[in-house]
Amino acid sequence: MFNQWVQDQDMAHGILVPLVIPWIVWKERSRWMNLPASPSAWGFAILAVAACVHFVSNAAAGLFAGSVAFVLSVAGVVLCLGGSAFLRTWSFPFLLMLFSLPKLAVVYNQATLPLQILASRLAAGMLLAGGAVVTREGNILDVGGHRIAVVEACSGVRYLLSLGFMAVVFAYLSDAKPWMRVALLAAAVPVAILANAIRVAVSASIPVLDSGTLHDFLGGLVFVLCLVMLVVVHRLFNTAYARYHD
Amino acid sequence: MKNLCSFLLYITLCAGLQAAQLPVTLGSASTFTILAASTVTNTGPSVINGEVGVSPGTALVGFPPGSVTGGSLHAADGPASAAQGSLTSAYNDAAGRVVPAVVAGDLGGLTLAPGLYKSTSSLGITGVLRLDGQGDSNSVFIFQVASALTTASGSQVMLQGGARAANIFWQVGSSATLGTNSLFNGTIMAQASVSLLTGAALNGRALARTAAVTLDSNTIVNPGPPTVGIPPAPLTITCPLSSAQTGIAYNSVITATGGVPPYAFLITGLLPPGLSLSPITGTLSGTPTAAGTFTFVANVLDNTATSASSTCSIAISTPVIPPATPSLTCPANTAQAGVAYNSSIAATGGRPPYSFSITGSLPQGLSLNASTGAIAGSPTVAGSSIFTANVLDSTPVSSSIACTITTSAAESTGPPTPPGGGGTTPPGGGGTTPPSPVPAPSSLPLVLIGFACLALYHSRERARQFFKRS
Repeated sequence: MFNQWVQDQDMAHGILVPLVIPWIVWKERSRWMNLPASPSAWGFAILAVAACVHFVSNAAAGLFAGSVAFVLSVAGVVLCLGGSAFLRTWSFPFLLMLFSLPKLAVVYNQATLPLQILASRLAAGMLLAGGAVVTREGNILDVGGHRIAVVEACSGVRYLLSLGFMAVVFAYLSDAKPWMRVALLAAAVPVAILANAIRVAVSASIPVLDSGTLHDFLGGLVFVLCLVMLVVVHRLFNTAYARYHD
Repeated sequence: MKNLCSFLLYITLCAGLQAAQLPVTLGSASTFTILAASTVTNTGPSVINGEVGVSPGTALVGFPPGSVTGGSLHAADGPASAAQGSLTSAYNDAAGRVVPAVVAGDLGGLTLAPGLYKSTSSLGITGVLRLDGQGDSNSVFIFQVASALTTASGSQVMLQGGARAANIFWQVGSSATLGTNSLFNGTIMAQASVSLLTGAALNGRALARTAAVTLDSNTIVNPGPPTVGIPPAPLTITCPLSSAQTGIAYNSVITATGGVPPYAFLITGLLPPGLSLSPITGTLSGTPTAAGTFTFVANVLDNTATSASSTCSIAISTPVIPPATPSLTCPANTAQAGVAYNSSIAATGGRPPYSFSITGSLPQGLSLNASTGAIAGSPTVAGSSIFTANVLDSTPVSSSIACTITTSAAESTGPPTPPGGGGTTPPGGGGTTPPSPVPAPSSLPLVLIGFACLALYHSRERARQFFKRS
């Protein structure tokens, strides 16, 4: 998994997950330090399942299955040693571990091309709305002779995974309502796609921003914009929630 | 009517041909072009070829401006005196010839055969008098004029059929006058005087027995001694050009030399198809229609019925026509991205079938059918593609043409292309510029940025709550 985090820039945020999870667990220590340990035999069953998955992973299934086996193993150990109460208390950190899992190739391959085309269309539409002369050929945009390609790395998957992770963490830190984490995670999807399209449109219209440090800076700036949009969405949700309960 | 009369007179004269005359013997007078008894008077820049003399008189006036070439001036010297003696003999010889044909009045417009002619009074020439030697270069003409001989201004005595000025003699009973700018042939032997008016030209002699010779800006050439019995040069014939090509005009002449002109040409055998002969000029002309080597005999017949012949051949070849070069027409020069394009490189001429090829690049999405020249497909990129269309026919001869296909942007993705190519034409033309990938930054820095922002956000929230409590 560590190699995956280092080598796959889509999953580079995964390296932070093992740091965030202990911090959250430590932050939640008041909830679990006084819990009585009640080991469960179901933990062995989960460990057995994890072992099988790991076996299958080694046989053919690949890295994703192996990583799932690892998460299951941790869950099995917690269940064996602490019992189901510990597992419930640490459920959120366990869910965060999903963000450290490698990409599932089947899903990733199916999703990237539509995302590329979607980002290209949205960017072309934005530029067209802005009065630019745009030619789009599939995932290639031509703006005044400046041509860019919305390749896999531009599909928005990075924004989606990173922003999804940040949305969940933001919801955990900013809101006590558990459903808000799911709501912000769901909101992160359109926000990430829209932000990525903005990034592509700006890169296409300003040639100097299509590569190098300025391009990376643009990517970071747009991500900040995503976070701002998340904050706005969060407030909208809270406002709506407050009105609903009033 | 006048022509008819002249023709009838000519027939009459020819019918009554006299016995052939011998030339008048001029003796020592033959070298004198001008000979007078009293004076020779010249006005203007006369040019005289031969001796100029006067005897027994001594006056030679007007030299210069008159000039003498091929001789000198003789004033009552021995040669001049001897010449006068010879002139007397010659005059008497001419006057004593017998059985003449009678002529009278004006000889202008007549054509006379060789012989002796006599006028019992004066004789005039207005217009053109033709003396026809009838193919005999030794033919002799002797005119006996009882009194004056006068030629009109601009009149001419023309020679043809081998007649020569050296064998023409005019015996004039009184005086002879050649009109202004007239042309005269023959030796004038005048009893009294001879006058050449302004500009008159004389190919002969002006010999006056008892009086003067008067000149005015004249050209006088001594024709030399009379010729007797000199055979003509052998008649020869030369073949025309021996090569020709079908479909290309041919024009050459069968040349005859020697003999006695005029000539008559005829061919024995077959001429190359398409060529024909002019029997008078010997010109062989036309456009050959068949290839091959054609052998024939060219014959020529001169005025004395002497013939000559030569075996000639003309090789007719088929011209080597360079193979025609096929010409090309470019395909339709406009296309639209995303819209089906179907056009062709059209070839004409040359020798089908053709083979087409492209040098350079077609717009992306289009392809060439090398057999038909069809270019079809759906362009994917806006821009202009400049390429060279080539064709090779079965000769094989190749031909090329520079073509351009300009692909406009797809209608659904942008406003119309502005003039000058607008913003849809990639630099370098024609969609060949590779697009730049615009990858998103790695997710690690993104999440780090996210955490930094999160920290700032919560710091701000905490600070706000702190100040609120305070």
